[in-house]
Amino acid sequence: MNVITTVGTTFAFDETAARLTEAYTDQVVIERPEIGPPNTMKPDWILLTASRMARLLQRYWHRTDESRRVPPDTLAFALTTLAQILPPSAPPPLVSERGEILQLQWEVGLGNLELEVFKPNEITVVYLGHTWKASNEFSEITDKFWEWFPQSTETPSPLADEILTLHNRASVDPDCVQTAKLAVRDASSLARR
Amino acid sequence: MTVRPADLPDFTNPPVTEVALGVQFNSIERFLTPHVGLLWETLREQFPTVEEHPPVAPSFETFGQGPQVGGNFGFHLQSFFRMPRMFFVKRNKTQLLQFQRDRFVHNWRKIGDEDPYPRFETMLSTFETGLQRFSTFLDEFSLGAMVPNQCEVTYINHVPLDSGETIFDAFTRLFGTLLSSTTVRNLGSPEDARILLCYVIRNEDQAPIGRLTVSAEPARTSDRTNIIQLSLTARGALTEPAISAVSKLLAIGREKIVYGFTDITSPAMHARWGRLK
Repeated sequence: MNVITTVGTTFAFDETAARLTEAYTDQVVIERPEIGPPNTMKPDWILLTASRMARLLQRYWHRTDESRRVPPDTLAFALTTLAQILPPSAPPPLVSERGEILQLQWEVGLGNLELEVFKPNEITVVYLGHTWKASNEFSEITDKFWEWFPQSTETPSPLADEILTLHNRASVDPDCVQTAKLAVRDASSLARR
Repeated sequence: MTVRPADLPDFTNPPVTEVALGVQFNSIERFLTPHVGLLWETLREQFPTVEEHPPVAPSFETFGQGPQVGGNFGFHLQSFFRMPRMFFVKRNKTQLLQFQRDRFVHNWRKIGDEDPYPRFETMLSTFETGLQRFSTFLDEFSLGAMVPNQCEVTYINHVPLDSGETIFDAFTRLFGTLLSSTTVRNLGSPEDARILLCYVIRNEDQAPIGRLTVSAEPARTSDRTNIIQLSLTARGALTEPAISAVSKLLAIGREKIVYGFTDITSPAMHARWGRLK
């Protein structure tokens, strides 16, 4: 199964479901020569996290059983949530599933940090015996994540490294090829911005 | 039927060309393509035309540290084999219902100059009837309960450019003082413009529940009229994941849109649109 994975900069209203209006707007494209390294970065974790989630969807295509699976809207909600709570230099989480529940895990300091997305508007964060629950407002959890993943003072790893990693993985894992190609295309487009 | 709030600004001839009321719910994975035909059968008399469209990806208003570098991020995880979004369209084409596995939307759109905007209260009534029909259908076929997670109201307005008017002239006419300090020495006024404003919608406890997004951009209609397209979308999460809470949130969204529209547009345009209060 082909899985479309796009990660890009959009405005919230672009995702509006309903518009039918037959009016055409012109895109504003500003081409400019690069005179130095970009001073804005996309968060490091986005590419691999989206790719891992896409692979989760791909695996479903090969399943023939009736087992419960993580719905796509739960994955979309998880990505939206991560964009709010994770600092840009945070590492990408490991992505796994437990029935319909999406599990995201990091190794942090003294133990495992786990974020479970049960369904849209229902998440739980567990770390060192503490549990935080939230629906769509993440101020407290955001503060915690910025404590757990302090901003690196080093230059963030270039996106090109992430692309190379995906290329390498694609060469040894046929299932990953299509996802990697799409992710690489998206990453390249991000890198150009 | 819901009653229009007494103090809400009102216009005899608003520039609205499309209104959409929508609810997004947790994906109902057992709702399959064959069910669409059965559902259409129950609505066919009112909505005799059916159309297939690509599904819309789920989206959520969330609140944390705010936009990260580079603005908000949009994510789309979607397989080629997702069920399509279905339109059930009325005979006069101005009203339709949209169904997909995790959304229900009711639209009104202006097709001809004589098509009157049916007003929010009438649209909400049609929306509620359609949503109830969908919910009952899911129950009848044991497809799973509808658990709403976001609601959305969108108003799209078309403001035609006057004869000989530049885009920026039209923006200034539409927004008045909002653009009063954009002139640059030796360059004058901008040649082109776009506006995007996002506001947080809060509940009685000042907790964020959604956003009002206002956008304005130059556009051309299908008959090649140059216009400013002014779109206002209010979207947010429900206080409780129940169908009964949907209408309440849609009414709040509509109120924010009407106040937003009134407050950012100029008194001169209000006079053109026949402002009543």
